[in-house]
Amino acid sequence: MKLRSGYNIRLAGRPAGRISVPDQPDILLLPQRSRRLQFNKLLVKSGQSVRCGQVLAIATGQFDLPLLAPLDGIVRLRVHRGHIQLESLRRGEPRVASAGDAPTGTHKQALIDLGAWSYLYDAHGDGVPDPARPVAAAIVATTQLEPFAGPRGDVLLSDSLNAFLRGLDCLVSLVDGVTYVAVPRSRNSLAVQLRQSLSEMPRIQVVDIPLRYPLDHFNVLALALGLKSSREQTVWGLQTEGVLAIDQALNGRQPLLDRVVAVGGSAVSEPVHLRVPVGYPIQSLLAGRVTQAPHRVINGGVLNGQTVDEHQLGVGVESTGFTVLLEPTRRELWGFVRTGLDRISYSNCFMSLFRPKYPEPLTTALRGEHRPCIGCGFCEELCPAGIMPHWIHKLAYRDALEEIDRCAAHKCVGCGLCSYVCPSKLDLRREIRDANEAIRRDLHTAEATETEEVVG
Amino acid sequence: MKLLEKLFDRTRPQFEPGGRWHLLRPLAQGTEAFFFGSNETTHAAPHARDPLDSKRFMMMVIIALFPAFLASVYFFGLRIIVMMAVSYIAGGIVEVAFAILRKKDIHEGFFVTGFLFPLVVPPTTPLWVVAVGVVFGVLVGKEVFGGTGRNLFNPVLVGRAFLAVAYPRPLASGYVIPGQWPWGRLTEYATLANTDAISGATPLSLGKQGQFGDLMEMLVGSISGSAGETSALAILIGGVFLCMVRVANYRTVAGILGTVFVFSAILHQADPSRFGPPLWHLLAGGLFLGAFFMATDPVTSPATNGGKWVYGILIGALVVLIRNFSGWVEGVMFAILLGNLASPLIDEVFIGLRMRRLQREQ
Repeated sequence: MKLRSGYNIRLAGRPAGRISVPDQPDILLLPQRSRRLQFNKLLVKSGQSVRCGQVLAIATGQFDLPLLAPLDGIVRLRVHRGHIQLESLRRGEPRVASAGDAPTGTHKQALIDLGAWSYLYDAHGDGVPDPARPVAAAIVATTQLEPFAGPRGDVLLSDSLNAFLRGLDCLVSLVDGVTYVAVPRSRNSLAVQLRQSLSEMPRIQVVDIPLRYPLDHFNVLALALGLKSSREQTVWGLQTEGVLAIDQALNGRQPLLDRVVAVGGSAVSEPVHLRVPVGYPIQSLLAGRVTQAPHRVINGGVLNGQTVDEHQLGVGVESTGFTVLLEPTRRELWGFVRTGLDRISYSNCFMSLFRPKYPEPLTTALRGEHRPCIGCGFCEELCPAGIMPHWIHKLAYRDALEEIDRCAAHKCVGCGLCSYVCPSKLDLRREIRDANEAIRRDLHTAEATETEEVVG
Repeated sequence: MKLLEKLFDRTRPQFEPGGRWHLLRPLAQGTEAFFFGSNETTHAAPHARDPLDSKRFMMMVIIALFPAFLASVYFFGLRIIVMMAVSYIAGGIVEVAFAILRKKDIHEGFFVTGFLFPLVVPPTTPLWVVAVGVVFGVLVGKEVFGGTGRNLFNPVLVGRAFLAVAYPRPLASGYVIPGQWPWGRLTEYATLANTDAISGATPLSLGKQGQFGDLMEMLVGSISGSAGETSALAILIGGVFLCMVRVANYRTVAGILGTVFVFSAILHQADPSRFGPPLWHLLAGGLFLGAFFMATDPVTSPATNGGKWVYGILIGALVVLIRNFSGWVEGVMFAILLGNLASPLIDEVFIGLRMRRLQREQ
């Protein structure tokens, strides 16, 4: 197995090693939209009283996945756009979504009904795996290497290693082929213990991965393991929390109503891991933990997250963490001749090369001006997919879509390292993504119509 | 510095579109960028960026060139500083004019061109010739191709080649005997008129007559030659530094120096009286300066790692060929220019191979 390159960004504000539970909020604001899911069909009315675990809405575009009420309460619609507000909250006995008290039907149906399906990823893409398709293999990443994009694997595992192993047992029964568990090459007691437990389990293969972002990414692992995507079968990708969700749903028969979210970053004075109900207002999540200075709240990590704006008010069903970065407040004088001991760079152009790595209080500054590509080749060195972002950039400049297609641009896993490292501050990832979209739209549809014409 | 920042903040609207001085925006922006880092922020993921920017990238080259520059001032006098100033002013005018015409920012790449140019011409080159050369280099070598990042040839060498063809006299006879220990020519302003020690005899031209000079002198740099190319040691210090900070790629350098060493060793074995020894070839002329600072220009060299080896080997072979089997005394300039010409082709081959491998993998 070949795992290429990768790079770790050391960002200040690492959350604590244990999970705490904050006070129950006054209201919940459940976003109807998350990264992959859109709960477009409402099943409740404004003013209706709902019980914990009841279905509030379903995502018709995504296999009717349900949005469950995390607590007992009264629904208010149209207070905040795109959100279901729940008020007069009471902690109740969870009511299971499907008919009867225990989930009936297949295991997969139970995962859907209990809200565990949103923890599953399609290891070859970015979407939700199709429940109708058999599962050829599964990849479990026990780490979370993008800084603070989600709860760290070791934090979750140290709390609940047994639940993880139980969940893995259930997962194996759902997968036709092998379940690969990516464990970091580390000698800490947790990794050793995990590896030992896994070695006794059938149909599980431990995959050693270096602790470098994004080598824990399902797409990278699927590629390295030689798992092919096909129309008939899927490969699942899960993180530690996904396996724990399976355990909770299938062994505990409990709906998934909480999320563990990491809150970290350079603007966070008190970085934490929190267990909160879905819909927990982001404002209360950050209150008292973020400095007063200008900052940007990101849903997810620095490299892949989305800026939280006025349209997202609560923790979503897919939220795993919030990274809060400082906005730059001052401009540096003569930055190009400074020693640079206070910054970490991928290149060796700064003196910090000679000091041990340390968490850096990164800001949202671009740290340079937009310039044409000078061909330094750093993007290619870092690319875990082994493609050449600088070359694709040059081809994209003259719209050479066919050549970009031949450069295997579709292999891009979207890790964002090329954009991060570029000294000319080009947004290479966006360019590759745009080019891929254009290829899908222009080249492939053109081919499709051509064949249709031939057939017609 | 708060004051300066405020001054920029206050005057900036004048240079924005619609402002009174909007045509001079690149100049104002360039001045501001010289003092202060960018004030832009990211708009989407990745929300933070690596601290390296192109200003710093180019600055590393100038820092690495400093030992060679100091050595040239020591050996050839204060005139080098004046040549540097002329080079920056003349080239700067072209750069700024094109930035204004294109309504783009001034790009940092020029600072390397302006610094390198006086170092590759003889120390007594008339100042107006320096100006003509650097203007030609920046204009034809870079701007007509679309500016930094799009040029095919190294602008410094384009300017140098133009001078070699258009003004052969000052370029061939402007060499000066270097200053001696301990003060060199540190207090002198050596021109063709006031230097009694005019000498056309660089180690390479002496080599044509079968005299291969003292290697120690060539290492230290007390030999005649172009302003910045004589001290192999100073260039080596800067060049190794540049490879270590990974601004220059060691593959290109190793390819060139290794090939020159091997080929000239073979030739020297064949006929020691006609062909110089390999170490002499390495230290003579502009090979070190070219290998470390010009061939490694990332824009004009191949993008692939394998391509960089081939490119280095090609340049090394051409240097040996031109030096030993042509009418030209020095071959580094033409070798690198020919290498620049070949680099898109080399890339084509290596990227083709790479694509095939990527396609097999999926």
